[in-house]
Amino acid sequence: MGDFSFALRQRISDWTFRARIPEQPPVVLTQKRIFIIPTRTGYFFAFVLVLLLIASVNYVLSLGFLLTFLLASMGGMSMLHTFRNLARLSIFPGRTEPTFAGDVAHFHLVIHNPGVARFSVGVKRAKLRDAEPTFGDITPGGSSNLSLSIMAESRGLMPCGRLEIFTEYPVGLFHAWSYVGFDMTCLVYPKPDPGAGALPISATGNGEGNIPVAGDEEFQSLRAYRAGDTLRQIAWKALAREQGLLVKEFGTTTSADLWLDYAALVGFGAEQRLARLTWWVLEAERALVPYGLKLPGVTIPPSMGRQHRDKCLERLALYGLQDGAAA
Amino acid sequence: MINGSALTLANVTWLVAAMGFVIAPHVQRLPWWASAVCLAAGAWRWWIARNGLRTPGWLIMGGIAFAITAGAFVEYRKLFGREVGVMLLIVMLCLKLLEMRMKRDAMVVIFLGFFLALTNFLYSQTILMGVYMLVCVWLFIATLIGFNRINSEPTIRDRLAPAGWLLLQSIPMMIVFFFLFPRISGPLWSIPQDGQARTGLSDSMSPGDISKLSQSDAVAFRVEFEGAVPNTTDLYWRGPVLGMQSGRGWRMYDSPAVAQFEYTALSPEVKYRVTMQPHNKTWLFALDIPSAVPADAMLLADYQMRAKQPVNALKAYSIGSHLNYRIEADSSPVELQKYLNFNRRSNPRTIAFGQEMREKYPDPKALIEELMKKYNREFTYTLEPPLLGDNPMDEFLFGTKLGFCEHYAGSFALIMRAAGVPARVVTGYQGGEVNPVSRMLVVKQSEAHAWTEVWLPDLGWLRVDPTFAVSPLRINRGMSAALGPVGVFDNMVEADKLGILRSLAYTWDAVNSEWNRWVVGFNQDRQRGMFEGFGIPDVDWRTMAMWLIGGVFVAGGGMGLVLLALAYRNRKSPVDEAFERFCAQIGRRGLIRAKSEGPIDFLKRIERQRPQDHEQAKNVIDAYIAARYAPSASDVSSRRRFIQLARRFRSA
Repeated sequence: MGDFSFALRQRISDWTFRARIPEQPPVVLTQKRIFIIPTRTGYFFAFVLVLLLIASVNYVLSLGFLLTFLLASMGGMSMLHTFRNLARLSIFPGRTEPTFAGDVAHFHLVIHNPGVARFSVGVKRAKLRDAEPTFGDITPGGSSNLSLSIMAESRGLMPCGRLEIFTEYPVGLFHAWSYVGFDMTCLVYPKPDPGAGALPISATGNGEGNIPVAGDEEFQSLRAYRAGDTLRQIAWKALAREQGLLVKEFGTTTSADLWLDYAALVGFGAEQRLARLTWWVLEAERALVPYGLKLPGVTIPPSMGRQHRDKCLERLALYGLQDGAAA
Repeated sequence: MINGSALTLANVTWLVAAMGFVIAPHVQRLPWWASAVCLAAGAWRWWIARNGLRTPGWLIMGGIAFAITAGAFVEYRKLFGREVGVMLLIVMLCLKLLEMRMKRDAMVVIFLGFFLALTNFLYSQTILMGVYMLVCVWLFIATLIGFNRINSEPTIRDRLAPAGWLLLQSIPMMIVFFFLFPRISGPLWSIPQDGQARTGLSDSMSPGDISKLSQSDAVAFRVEFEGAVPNTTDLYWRGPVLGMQSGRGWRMYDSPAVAQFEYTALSPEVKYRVTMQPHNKTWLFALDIPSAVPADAMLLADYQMRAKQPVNALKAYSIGSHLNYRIEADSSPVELQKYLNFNRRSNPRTIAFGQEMREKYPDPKALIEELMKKYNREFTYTLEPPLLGDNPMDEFLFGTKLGFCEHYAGSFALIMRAAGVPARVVTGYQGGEVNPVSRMLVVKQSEAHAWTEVWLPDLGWLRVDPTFAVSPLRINRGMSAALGPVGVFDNMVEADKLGILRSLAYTWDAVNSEWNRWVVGFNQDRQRGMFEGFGIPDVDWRTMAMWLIGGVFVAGGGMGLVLLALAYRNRKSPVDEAFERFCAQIGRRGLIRAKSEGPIDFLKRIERQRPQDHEQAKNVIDAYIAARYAPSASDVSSRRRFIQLARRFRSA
């Protein structure tokens, strides 16, 4: 889109969608919400039409007039088709999985289409010049998924902001678009800092040296598999013996628990501390070492597993942020 | 926003193919090397897309473009003008294919492809060409749709069907624009006239010219008479008058223009309307003698009518004629002198023969009669006369004695001049065929004819047609009767005992005539006439704009409402639709699925009640469950598999 049309569209959208965020799902794309404007290709097409008309007049070509008018009408009709390609779609927000800062966050939209098939419907973040769009076809009489990938810059709760649903199908002469502003957020964990190094075993207090080390195969018992258990915990031999899906449990044979302590990281800035703690959380999970997390005002007792990990990472992600807004 | 990924093999193939279709009619006019460059560029581009190669750099492209321009200059000796312009446009657009790197480049090629379609109309505006170009536009729009299908590869149907619908929906609005858009009479600037040969009469005649024309079945003009069509023997369509004898043949004098024809009418006026096919000359044709002149025509002293501009588009004019007349009965010898000159160096025997005849028959009337008898006795009418040498009239009159109308008219006029009787050759068309479907008289190129006029004291210029003496059938019943079956059309007519082909030919001609009237010949005048028909005389542009806006509103708005109404209908998914069809098929065998019955329960019932269908139905229903409750909404293959299975299902 040209600078002018981009600016114009921003003005129109600012004026039209004042104070509509966040919206309650589903958002149905009605004619009130759909905007349409010629694309740069569309303007070029209009220029070619003028050339065709001049040639027809000059060479007295009646069939040239017919061709010119057929194409002009086609252009006009394509506007309706482009509009129709968005009209009546119902948009629902989908689930968003947490991610790490520096990684990509995937926001999902579920789009229900009660009418004819739609093609090449795009979604991108509104009001961003170089926002990368994602395209999808929407099957008739059913629902389809569109997911938008956005780079997560920093920890916290990242809102996906207002999204632009748009299309230029079928002939690319018009750009039809609509905004949806759901309250969709993605939890962004701090970016793990490998510089943290090995787990801070010496920093765990009494230092009696009977702490299990990574790769310890001594397990205490087998228990039934629970959601969230990692693959590494699964007792594959037991599974092979057809004893069912069992998980190796590493008992707290050690008297000293591993505490990941914010306060212990002296000499680092707040974000650096969080990044190191995040790295250790992941390392501890990998090494199957139970760990606890201590942040100023927050203490999570030592444990292991998916749920524990997610809880710790969430505290790290949101630490010190008001309303969870990204730092 | 959308980059090079749009240039997939399928998209490029479509674009190259569409270009091939639109260029094809030009190939007959292009230099062979230009066609070869186009073909090579298309193939090269396709190869690049197929193998994911890089497009050639600007140095290579610049070199090729320069070579093409140089070649064009060598071929046409200029770089501006219609022919060379069209050629350069075609070749450069083919080269642009190679320079195409982004979707935007492809758009440029497609839109200029529409312009290429228009250039075809410079050479032909027939129904066939119109339909062919419509197909080309369809292909281009289908290609355009392919480029705008960003995330998925469309099937052939996915391209052609929406493109076809889009065009069909545009037709009402196109018709409104065509008739109501204010027409300006072109050209806006002077068009360089390239030598474009069209069949038709020329400003000179030597033996063989008209017989060449006679083999063309092309329509010269169509005529609509206000009353009855006159007798065939009166249908002499006067065209170029050739007064100058020049050895081998006859040429035109530069006759002065006159304000009006002066003559004494001896019969009532016949009124009619002529619609002429373009022939790139200024001749206008009318029955001998035209009584009134169309507005943009001028008259010449020897009773010729000329258009002020060459007729390079369909031209229609209303005119009247008096079939019996007396002209220039009182001309002075000085005025007539130029019709007595002849080239004394050629055809000595003919000249001697003329002088000898004059002495034998001092009365010109008796002389004419005697010559007619001679033609009738000794000469044979043929479309394929033998070639003649340096003294063609001598060889014809005293040697071959086989000739066509130009031989008879040319030799007769020369003899008359040698005998001291003022004479001239008149060319034009003779006869015509009434199309019973359109009730119009159709005059074809094959009816081109040459006859003579001689001047006699007190009687003025009289038409004498020596061909009539040789072959009265030619004048009474037309060309095909005089020559027997000639050409495709006449053979066809001959073989067509039931008359079906003939009536088809008449219908096709009538359709062409309507096409010419309402499409090709629809111009500013016709538009004004149409508004007069609506009861708006002297329409101004404001009224026309109002009508146009109103028309577009009705046609576009109406079509839009229909489209939106269709869009607002709820659709079932193809999977559900196919499943319902499948259930209905079993339902016809008496096993009706209850509304609350799930597919698995239904299958169980089929197993019990229609075991012969069970095996097939199980496949279908398993596929349905896989498609309907697929883990991913984007799982296209399971949906496709189910729809195929359901479609193939046949209840035993």
